[in-house]
Amino acid sequence: MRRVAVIGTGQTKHAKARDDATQSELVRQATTRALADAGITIHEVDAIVLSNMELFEGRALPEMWVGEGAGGYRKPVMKIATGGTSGTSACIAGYHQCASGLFDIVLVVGWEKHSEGATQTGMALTDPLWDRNVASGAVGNFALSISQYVAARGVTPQQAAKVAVKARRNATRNPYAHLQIDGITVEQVLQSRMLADPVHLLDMCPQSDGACAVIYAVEDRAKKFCPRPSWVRAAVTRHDQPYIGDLDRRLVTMRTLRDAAREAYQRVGITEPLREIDVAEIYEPVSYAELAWYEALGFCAEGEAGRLIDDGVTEMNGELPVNPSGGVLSTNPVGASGVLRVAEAAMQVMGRAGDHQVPDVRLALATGYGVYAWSDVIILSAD
Amino acid sequence: MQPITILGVGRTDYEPKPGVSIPEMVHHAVQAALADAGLTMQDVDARVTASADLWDGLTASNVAITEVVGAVMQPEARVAGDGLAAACHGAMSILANAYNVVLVVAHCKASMGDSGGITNWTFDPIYQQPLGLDDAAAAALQSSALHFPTPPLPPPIADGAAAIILAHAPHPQSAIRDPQLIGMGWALDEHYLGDRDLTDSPALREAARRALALANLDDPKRDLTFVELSEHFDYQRELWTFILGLDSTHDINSSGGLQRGVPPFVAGLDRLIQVVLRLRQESGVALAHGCWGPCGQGQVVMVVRR
Amino acid sequence: MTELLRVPHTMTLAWRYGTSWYFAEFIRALRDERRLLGLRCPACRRVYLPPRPVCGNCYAELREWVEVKDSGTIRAFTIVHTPIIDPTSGQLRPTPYGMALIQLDGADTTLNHYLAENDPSQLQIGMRVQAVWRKERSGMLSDIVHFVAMNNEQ
Ligand SMILES: [Zn+2]
Repeated sequence: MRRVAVIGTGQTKHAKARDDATQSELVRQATTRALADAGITIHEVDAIVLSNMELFEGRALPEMWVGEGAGGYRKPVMKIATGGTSGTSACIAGYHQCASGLFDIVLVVGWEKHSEGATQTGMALTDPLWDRNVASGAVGNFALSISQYVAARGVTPQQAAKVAVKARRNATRNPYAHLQIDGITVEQVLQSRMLADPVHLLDMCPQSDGACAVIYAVEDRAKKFCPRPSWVRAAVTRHDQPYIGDLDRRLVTMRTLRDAAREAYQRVGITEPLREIDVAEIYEPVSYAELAWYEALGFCAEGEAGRLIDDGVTEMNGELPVNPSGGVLSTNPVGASGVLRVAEAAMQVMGRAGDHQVPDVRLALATGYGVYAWSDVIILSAD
Repeated sequence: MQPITILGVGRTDYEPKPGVSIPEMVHHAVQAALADAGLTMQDVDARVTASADLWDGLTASNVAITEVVGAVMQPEARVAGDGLAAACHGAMSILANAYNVVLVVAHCKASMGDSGGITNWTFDPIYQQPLGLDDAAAAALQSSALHFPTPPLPPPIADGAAAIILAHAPHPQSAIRDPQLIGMGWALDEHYLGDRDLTDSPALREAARRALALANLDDPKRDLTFVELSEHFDYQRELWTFILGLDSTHDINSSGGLQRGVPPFVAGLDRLIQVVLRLRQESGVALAHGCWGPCGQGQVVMVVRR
Repeated sequence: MTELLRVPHTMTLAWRYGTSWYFAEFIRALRDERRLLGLRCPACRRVYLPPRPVCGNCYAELREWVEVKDSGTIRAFTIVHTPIIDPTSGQLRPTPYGMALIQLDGADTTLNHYLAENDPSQLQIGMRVQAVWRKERSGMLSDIVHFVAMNNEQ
């Protein structure tokens, strides 16, 4: 496989409503910033991969309208959409296209403008003949599998709240993050409105408007344009069965993430992920999920995730900082959320993460999550 | 580019299938492609699916077909666009050495929804959508710009699925039969109809330029044995033919093209299937074309040889 | 600076979803006989509810119908406090309400459905529950109003 690296990233300010920018403008902002970060112009981009979940905004084939914002006219443009994993899947698709030998530089842009859509469209996420007859919503669905995870592992609401606090505290050092809650406390999370037992409002991710772009280059171009490229070392996808009731104890087993991580670690030669990985940007739609992902990613043994957060292992100054950007819990423009994970992981390797930079990152992990239990795992490194 | 082998093709009939579910439709196409290739699902490393959420009435429309495309605990990417673009992406991931064998599947149940309503949602929501533009209205503008005397005629509405299997190298037992993909290109045109010269298609020119260059063909008139075009309205056959530098003396759409009814998003992949089936009978170099969006805003071209 | 505007659109679309043989048979048995039918995988023997053409774990075609009871065991539960639009009424569903993943007796998958109980202290994983049916059935999951605790488990 040809060696490919991320050489630039760019994102918009994420917010509840970006009335000042159309979808196309959001994409243009992220693209322009990524091009500047990479030190190239749009003319050097050979191909573009887009990511978005169009039903949220009431669009059909939105890339037709928004492709312009990515500088896509008369260039090869493809849209990848796989639900919540759209962004990471688009990043994997862009990586494959760059590694194919046909393109030298590939731009990936994800975006979502939740404020432009109606909540009803979310109902179209489930099978019309089955789940759509029983209203639970995304939060209810998470809460159901969280009840199994809590029963199996004994994690407490306080431990979950610590994850929520960690994310928002990290977000205050990321000027692009949507939620900016100064001095947030565990008590504040536990006292926030109950959405679905045991998930409080502040345990959940927000819905955001925003876009994020990543630029890949093949080896010679990467070395030419970037002093410290972020090399792609592994990219693995696992999908799973379609109904929420199909997946036995989904958060407890999380077989897709477990298997994708196993294959990715094997390719890179990682045997002790907690010790070897320097930073992780993982797709945690809800505080409890981050704890479950610690286990599935092999950061700790089963049942040890609560201890990991209690001991501060995944805090900014811990052994393996998780989501220095504030994560999905602080910023969630769905079509961009996976691209953000890869961009933030790459920024850490490139040493361009500003106030939320972790020192001396050589190996970074990014994950995507969506559709009840689909997973992507991407590993980036400094060499 | 290194040639990619097309090991198998399969499809359903194309016709309105009011009682049939999307997963079952896709299942039949996948089974047909596996049987044609002489493979089982265990031989497939990854899949690329193509579908459009608004047509399926389902967000992340590949969710419904995870099981029938064998994607449980396996890699899958989904292209929101024509199946021929999905085939390009599948080929790219093979060229990247990410996978050896890739299943490419496209589906659409055009009879499920209202084409006018759905394609109206493609136009930008501030200037064009409120005008009530849809694909048919855009086609009427394009055909009048081309001075066609009659209103554009869309093919009959059809439902269906199509599948192909791509591989890094031919199987020893089928190497003589199987055509190879030797060139591909795709591109996006401008969005606002008023910005475009509707009598031209820079995106198709660019897609074809890329595909022919990869295939080392410099004279499509001389080098192409036959061509399968996606004419989503009758007038487009002449337009795409002209833009590709061909004329009516060429062998174009001998399969019947889309005129008997081929679902959108399946259409381009079905052009490729027609090319493959004919190349198994006679050697030559052929071009398969797909397009999607208003007046073919998205364009994709593949060159295949045997 | 010019005041920013939002351009409103109300868009309605309708779809006609085909059932295929498997959902057609499920709906018929539910509507006409108040029976719940699943499909058994010939390879892993799992009984799937809802029915579908292929077992994703084995990539095996499903053909064998198995009757599933309308009683089962709670495998996961929550109390929903955020109002969600109820697709059967188009109105916000009054909160709080209980939801569970229920493994119906005879099925290997779980069913996502409502509980009559909305006090979490009265619920636990492993609890036995029974469906409460509507008088008029349409063949949809909403023919079951909700599930109630089985007090006198035999
Ligand atoms: Zn099975």
